[in-house]
Amino acid sequence: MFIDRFFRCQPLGLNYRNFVIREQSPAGLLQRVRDKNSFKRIMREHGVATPETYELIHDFLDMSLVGAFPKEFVLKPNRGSGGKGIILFERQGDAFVNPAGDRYKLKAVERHIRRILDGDFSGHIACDLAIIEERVYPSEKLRFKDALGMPDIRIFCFHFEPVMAMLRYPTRKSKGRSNLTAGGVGIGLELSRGTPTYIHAKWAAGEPRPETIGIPESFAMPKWEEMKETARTCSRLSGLALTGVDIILDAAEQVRVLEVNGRPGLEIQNINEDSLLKRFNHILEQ
Amino acid sequence: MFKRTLWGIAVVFIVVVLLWLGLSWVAQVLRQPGILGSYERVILHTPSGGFELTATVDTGADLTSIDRELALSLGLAPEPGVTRRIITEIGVVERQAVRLRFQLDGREITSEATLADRTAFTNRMLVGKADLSGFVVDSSRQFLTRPADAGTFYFVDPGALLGTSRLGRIIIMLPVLASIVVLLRLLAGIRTYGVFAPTIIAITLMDLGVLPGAAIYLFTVVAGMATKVLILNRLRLPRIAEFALVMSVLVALLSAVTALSGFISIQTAFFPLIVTTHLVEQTSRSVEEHTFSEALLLLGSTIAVALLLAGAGSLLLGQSLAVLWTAFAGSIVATLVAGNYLGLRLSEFIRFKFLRRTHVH
Repeated sequence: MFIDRFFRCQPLGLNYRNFVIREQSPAGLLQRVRDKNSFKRIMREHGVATPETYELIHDFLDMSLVGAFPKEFVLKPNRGSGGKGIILFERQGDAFVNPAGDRYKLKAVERHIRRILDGDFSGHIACDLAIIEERVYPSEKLRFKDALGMPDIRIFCFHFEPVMAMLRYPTRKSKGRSNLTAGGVGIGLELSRGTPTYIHAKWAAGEPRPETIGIPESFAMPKWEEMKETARTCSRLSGLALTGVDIILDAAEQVRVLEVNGRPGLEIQNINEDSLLKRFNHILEQ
Repeated sequence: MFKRTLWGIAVVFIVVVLLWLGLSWVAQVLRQPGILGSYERVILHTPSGGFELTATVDTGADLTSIDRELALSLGLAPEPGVTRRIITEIGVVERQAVRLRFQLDGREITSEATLADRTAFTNRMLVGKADLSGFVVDSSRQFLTRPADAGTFYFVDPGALLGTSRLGRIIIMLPVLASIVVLLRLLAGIRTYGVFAPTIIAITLMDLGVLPGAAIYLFTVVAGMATKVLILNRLRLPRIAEFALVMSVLVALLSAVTALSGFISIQTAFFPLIVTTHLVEQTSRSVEEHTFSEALLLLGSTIAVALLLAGAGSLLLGQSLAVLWTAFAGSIVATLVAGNYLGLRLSEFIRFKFLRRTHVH
């Protein structure tokens, strides 16, 4: 159609993304992906590794479990988006400490769980579950001199095929979240080899740009083929036309999937300096 | 996509016609005979048959009057030598008279009407006091009757039914303003806290006047945010509890201001109160989701869009009903077209900076 031809060379805009989601991502399937815990179960059944769920908190009665939590854990809302409401905890005696060094008392942790259950981090829904999850550490190969926290790899899939990828790091500003909207830093990854793209794209001198994290020019993502295959599997399992698969490489260099996002953000285009629409057309032409 | 737009328009058209039918039926059922609006349809009996036209009902005039040209063209000849003395604002004038028979609200009325040049007036006929005995006139409404008391189904004029009062006009304008918010979002990429907040703010600004309205909003928003940040954040309550408490604190503050100054009355602050509570909740939610500056930016753009809407609204409010309904229909079409626009929003040309680079691979 003429509209498609007219916009072919443009970046993917929100209007077009929402159109594709409206037309090709059924609401039921979107909901299934948003329910992180049950979708995690589906992924595990199909051989995709994910961080382990220790505990699910359904209501205030389960709160008594908090005292019995393991030494290290991640507390997150089941249907949260954009990394909202997620806190990484480590127990030190009576206190719970997050990576920034803030100490939470038992009462404060309970209060955070209460807010999760009330749906404060979950958009326009009235209640939610809280997930107590295994805390995963990143592989040594993803640790660079200026990097903080847990990096993840976002692979953007269209019709179950990876079309664009980036490596994301949390910053001080992003409070431990690697999401770009929260202030995380993204590094574009070349799709066929897993090498950083920004080294190829010549950035104009003096232009503001994300911190480089100290990533070496020779860097290539370990286990890149396996990651792409995992992204393919997960996006097929979701049945959605557009997916953003969030992958981590843990300390044992195992590829694990954090979550699948049914409404992936478009900032990845800026990170890679390329148009998603152009890549969609490559997929459609094949 | 074009096909879907056409379908959309067709569906809207059918819905409008159905609503119109329903409205006409309701009007039929609720009709009170004997009550006239300021404009009514009448049927003139002329030598060549019945002629239907709109007449102004004017209890300030003694005699019924009709446009000379029209009367002559309908074959209603003035009685030779018969004149009536009419007192007008320019003095006493002598006017020729004509015998007239017409139907109004199913009644047959025989009258003597004066001939005048009415080309400058909205309606070419005016029904005066002499012919209004037995009727009650509600000057705030229009087209309450039908001329002949036939059993046929009668379509009411929806514009006349709604648009005569200021409130009616504002109601017609609501979806127009809402669609402006939608256009700004889909085409320009200007984000606001929903469609509801800027529209309601605009309506209140129009009603209270821009300056007093802005003062009330400034007060409620600052007070609401201060309550949230200084008091409620420390209490660490669930969000729904905070929502109710923001409202309580605002009501208490507004009553205090009312009692002290009388500048704001608690009634005028009703909508600002609701909208502000909504805004405070949205803003605090978005502070969590994004960054503080982004949340403030959204708040700012919501208020800027509301000001724009208030301007557009006051402009529309002064227009004729025909313009208002044209804007109404136009806003439906514009929303359907914008909803099918799949290209970049204006703001995205700025967001995707790499577009401006020359070496994009």
